[in-house]
Amino acid sequence: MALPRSHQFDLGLDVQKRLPSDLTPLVGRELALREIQRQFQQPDLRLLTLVGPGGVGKTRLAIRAAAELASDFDEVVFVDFSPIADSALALSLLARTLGVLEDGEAPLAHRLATAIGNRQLLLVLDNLERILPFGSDVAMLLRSCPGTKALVTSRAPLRVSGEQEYLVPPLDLPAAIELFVARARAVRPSISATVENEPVIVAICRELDMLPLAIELAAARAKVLSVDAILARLEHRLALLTGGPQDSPERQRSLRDAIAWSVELLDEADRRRFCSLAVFTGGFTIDAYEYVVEGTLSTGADPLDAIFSLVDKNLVRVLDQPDGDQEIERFGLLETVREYASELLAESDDAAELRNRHAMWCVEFVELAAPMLVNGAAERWARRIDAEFPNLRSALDWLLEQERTDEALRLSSELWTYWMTFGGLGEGRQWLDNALMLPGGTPSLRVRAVGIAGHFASNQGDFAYEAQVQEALTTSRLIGDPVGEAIALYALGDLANEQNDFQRGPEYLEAAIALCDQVGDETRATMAMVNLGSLARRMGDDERAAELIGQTVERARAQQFGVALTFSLNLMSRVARARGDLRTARALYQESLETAWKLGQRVTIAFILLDGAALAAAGDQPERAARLLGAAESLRETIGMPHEPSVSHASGSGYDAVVTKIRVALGEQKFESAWNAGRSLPIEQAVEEAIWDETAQAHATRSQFGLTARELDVLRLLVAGRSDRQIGDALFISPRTAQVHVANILAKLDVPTRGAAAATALRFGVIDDAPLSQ
Amino acid sequence: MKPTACTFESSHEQPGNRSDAQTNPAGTGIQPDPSNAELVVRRFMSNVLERGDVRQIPELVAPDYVGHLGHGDYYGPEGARIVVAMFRNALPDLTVHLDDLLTCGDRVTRRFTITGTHLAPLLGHPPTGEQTVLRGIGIDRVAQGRLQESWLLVEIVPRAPPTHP
Repeated sequence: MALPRSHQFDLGLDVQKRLPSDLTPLVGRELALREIQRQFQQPDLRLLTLVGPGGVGKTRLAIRAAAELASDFDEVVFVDFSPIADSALALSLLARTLGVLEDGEAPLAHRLATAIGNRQLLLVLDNLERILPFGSDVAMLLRSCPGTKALVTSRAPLRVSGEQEYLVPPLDLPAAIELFVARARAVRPSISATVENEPVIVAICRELDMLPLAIELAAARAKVLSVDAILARLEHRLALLTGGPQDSPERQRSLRDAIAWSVELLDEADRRRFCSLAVFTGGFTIDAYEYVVEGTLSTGADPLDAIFSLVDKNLVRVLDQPDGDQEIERFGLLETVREYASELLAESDDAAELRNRHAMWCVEFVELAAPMLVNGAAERWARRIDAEFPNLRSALDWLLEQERTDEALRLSSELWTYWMTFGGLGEGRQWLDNALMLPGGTPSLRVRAVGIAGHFASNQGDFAYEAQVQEALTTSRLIGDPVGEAIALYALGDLANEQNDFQRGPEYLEAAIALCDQVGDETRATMAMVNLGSLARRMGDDERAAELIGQTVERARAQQFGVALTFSLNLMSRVARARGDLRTARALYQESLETAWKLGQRVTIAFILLDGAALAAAGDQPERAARLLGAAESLRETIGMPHEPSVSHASGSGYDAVVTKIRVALGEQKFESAWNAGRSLPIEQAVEEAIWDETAQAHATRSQFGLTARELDVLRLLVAGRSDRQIGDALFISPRTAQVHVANILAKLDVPTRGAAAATALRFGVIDDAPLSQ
Repeated sequence: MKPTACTFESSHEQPGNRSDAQTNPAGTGIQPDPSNAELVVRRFMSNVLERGDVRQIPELVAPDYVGHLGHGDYYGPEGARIVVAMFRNALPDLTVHLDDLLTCGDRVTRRFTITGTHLAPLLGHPPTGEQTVLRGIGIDRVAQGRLQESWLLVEIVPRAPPTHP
């Protein structure tokens, strides 16, 4: 049975899916692609930077090159850094994309390196020109991760050791002409290069310094201008344009001039709309556009028509979202275009209102989207929120700057479900702290924000924050805000729970449950019950624990509250284990881990693995237990919860006791090596090992041939006659990885061909009748 | 081609004939009559070019319109808008004077003068900030109440060099 794909892990995902697609054909870059391939074949090449002016097409070239290099790597990851202006935030973005979360504790760079490990990873880092200092982080990462290589695009080189540069040339003439005609044909199908107009097209390309993006901007106008008219107008205008800041290199102005030329051809309404788009960071949906831009300008035009009018002119592009919610279209501006639009926006009267509406849209979006994370559609909404993060961040920055306390509090508070489900509490906490530092604000909003921050603090081990939460509790009662009071009570309960306060813990939690039920905060009520159940169990009151947790499982199922369900199932498993019923314990544990995996809940998985270890220890599998503990530690590091698991989250008889037991059973050396083996296991494999309790027979036959669980999966598909690519598709791994597995299987079964492997598998009963999961 | 009725009007007989916008600044301009080719051209010159009412362009310009200017061609209502914008951006306070208008079948020929302050680049000429005169000749083919094709030549009237004392 194969594990279903998980949004947050995305391991072994088909590499093509991590790169944006080529929405327009790449013209005239065969030589460049060959050169890049050649450079990558050099054994000591780790970092190649594609350098060149804006508009020369570095990004497209990098994407195509990466697609062609993909088969040499296990994974390819593409990150667009254009929304980032501060190099300090760049590492965070890279970490987020790779699923590594930040917290206050261990340096993010180290955790990133640990998470990447020895994977054969190709990092495509796009648009680093504004954050050149980030280059040293990249260089350090490459030093720590031997299997990783980086392909960077930037207007200027990073200037770090080990960097190779490739200067992306402008197009040669035939390619430029081809590009112009291709783009012009998209808007005027009858056009072609003829004896009469070819010299004119050549002149246009030369006027634009053969920059592909500038050529495309000009060619897009072929709908309304003849080629002669395009040339004449370009010549007229470019002679007079004084564009760009004083110190920008000559060539950088060429694309900017082409943008200015194109924008000047827009009618009044289009031009206002175009400038307005500068208010977005990282793209926008039609819904956001309508609220923010149409809401401000009131041009009355159909939003989709308006946007596509600009798309036709190459000023706006449709964004391809390899990891995103495919059903909602996103649009965006190329960075150079966005810069120009920003300049115009700064001079426009619309700026203030646009920023205001942008911030309001973000607040309302979060208030709509975040609660959806605790029901069944969580994955899709998580992707939507991920896609909007650059907008959310810039909105928060603006709200903080404008001291719009209430909106800042709302924005940071409402996202708590996101941070809670997917981790990254550090950033969430920081948002809340920043908002709370602003003056004023509605008291109830402040109280709630402190309560939520308290919940985070509890998970971060920042127990000192309790004082603030106490204050918030008092205030909430003073102003008569039961919702805020419930949040504060919950946070205090959580804090007490973390510190094993068997006195106040139950007090706070029971009060929280009662109040939450009263005000209709079902989510928190369920969470509080889970905590209470966990406390009861640790206090030794298994009967009460079973009763409570049985209820939370029901509630969580009904609410489709993923995190609560996985935690509850895990707790039930502990209850069963405590009374010696290992069979039930294992079944519940498997269900909880599978649920957590499906929902991508790294936070809960990190804890549940500890239970796996305890179960393994109880079942006399000390080596397996040690491996799982190592894997859990590694996962904790990557998600930013490095503090030692406190007793509340550890296995029933105590984390330390389990560790001692298996250490004794294995002896120091075997213990160490099993632990380290677990640390370096890819998380997917660790979870597989933790979930499956193979039947005795399966275990025996696997042992006979020494096949891993994954290899067993591949073997089943092989027996069914699938190709490497089909196997890859079915198991969400790359064809190359599948190929490696097949080779290993053939070696272990000691057979020369796939056919022979299938025959052997069937004869020895290695394959059972169980159908493959989807 | 069989001969069709031609009309001729010239401002020579009416010296000091001012533009419609100047005689009737608060008005909405010349009103439509699709059967009258000459009227289409007048409306365009007066309502669109002079008064800047670009909303009338789709009514007056055919979807497959082609405008031939000296430096290249412009297509459709959007192309016509761009041509108009070219003049209006360059001379924001422009006034239009129709000096001659001849209609022959579906062809309307006009001789016109555009006057205004040159405040933005025009056809490669940097703004001078001064009162500028453009003169032009155009032939428009009109059908179904819309401009189908135009041939235009426009030039900036050179300023007389200052006379020496």
